[in-house]
Amino acid sequence: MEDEKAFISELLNPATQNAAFRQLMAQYGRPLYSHIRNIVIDHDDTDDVLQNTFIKVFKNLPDFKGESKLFSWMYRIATNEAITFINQRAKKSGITNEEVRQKAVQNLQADTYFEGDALQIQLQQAVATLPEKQQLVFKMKYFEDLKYEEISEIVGTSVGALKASYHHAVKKIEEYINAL
Amino acid sequence: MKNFKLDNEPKINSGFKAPDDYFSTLTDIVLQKLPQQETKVIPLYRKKPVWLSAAAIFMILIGGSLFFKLNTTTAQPDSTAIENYLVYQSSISEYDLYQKLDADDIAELEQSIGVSNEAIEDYISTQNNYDIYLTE
Repeated sequence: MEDEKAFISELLNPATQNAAFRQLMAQYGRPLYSHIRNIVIDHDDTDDVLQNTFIKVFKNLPDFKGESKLFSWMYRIATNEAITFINQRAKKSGITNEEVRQKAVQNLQADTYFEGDALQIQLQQAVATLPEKQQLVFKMKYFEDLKYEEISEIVGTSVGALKASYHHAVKKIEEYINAL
Repeated sequence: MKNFKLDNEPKINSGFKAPDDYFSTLTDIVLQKLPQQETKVIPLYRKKPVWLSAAAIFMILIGGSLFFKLNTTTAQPDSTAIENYLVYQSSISEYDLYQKLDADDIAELEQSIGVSNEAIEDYISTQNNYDIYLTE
């Protein structure tokens, strides 16, 4: 925690800011990319959201109180940015959020930056049928290997509720794939 | 009917990948988009010393202008002082003064001085250098 405080000071100090921000991006660039990509599905959309996330992190660092870990704070910003992106896309296209996600999954086979086999596509299709919260929990737990405690800090839901949500998600996914 | 169980399957990854050079270029792209560090602007009203200085300067300016205004109004010389100055101090000759007099000035002077004809005759008769005018 002390190390994190020192690191945040470096991020806020104009003399060390540039190097510290490079370090931050090197450390969190890939995991945040995966997190956002799991939500918005398309690479180019992920790129936009990830850039906005880092810019938002930089702008809001002076207000970061250190009440939560830098890791969970950044994940929270990334999650909000990704969900906001989906909402805006749905509003622009005049369709629901679920339809936006399902459309993105339908486009996966033609996506240059997706190298999944038939089962992976089926799994993505199954996940896209879940309610938003269950999708988020399943992706963070299964694809991103985050601990329940970490997910709890990011989404602000109790560990017990997250476990129940994940259990329901797995059951629905299995039913979906078995019915194909 | 299949019997797919997620936990029985080997771990299935998402299948997503990023372009090869994506993360190496991302950092520079984001750094270019970051807002530049701005100098913090502290409003003047929050800085007490600045307020005090501004008030002090204002008072000095008001006081100074009043002082000079009062001094300049009392420094007007009266007509006697001007006369004395012209006679004793300045290099203006009588001739210069005559040149500046117009007909109205002369009439006014005749009225105010009030010299009688007898006085003029007395003056001329006692001054030898006017004989030439009298004999003509």
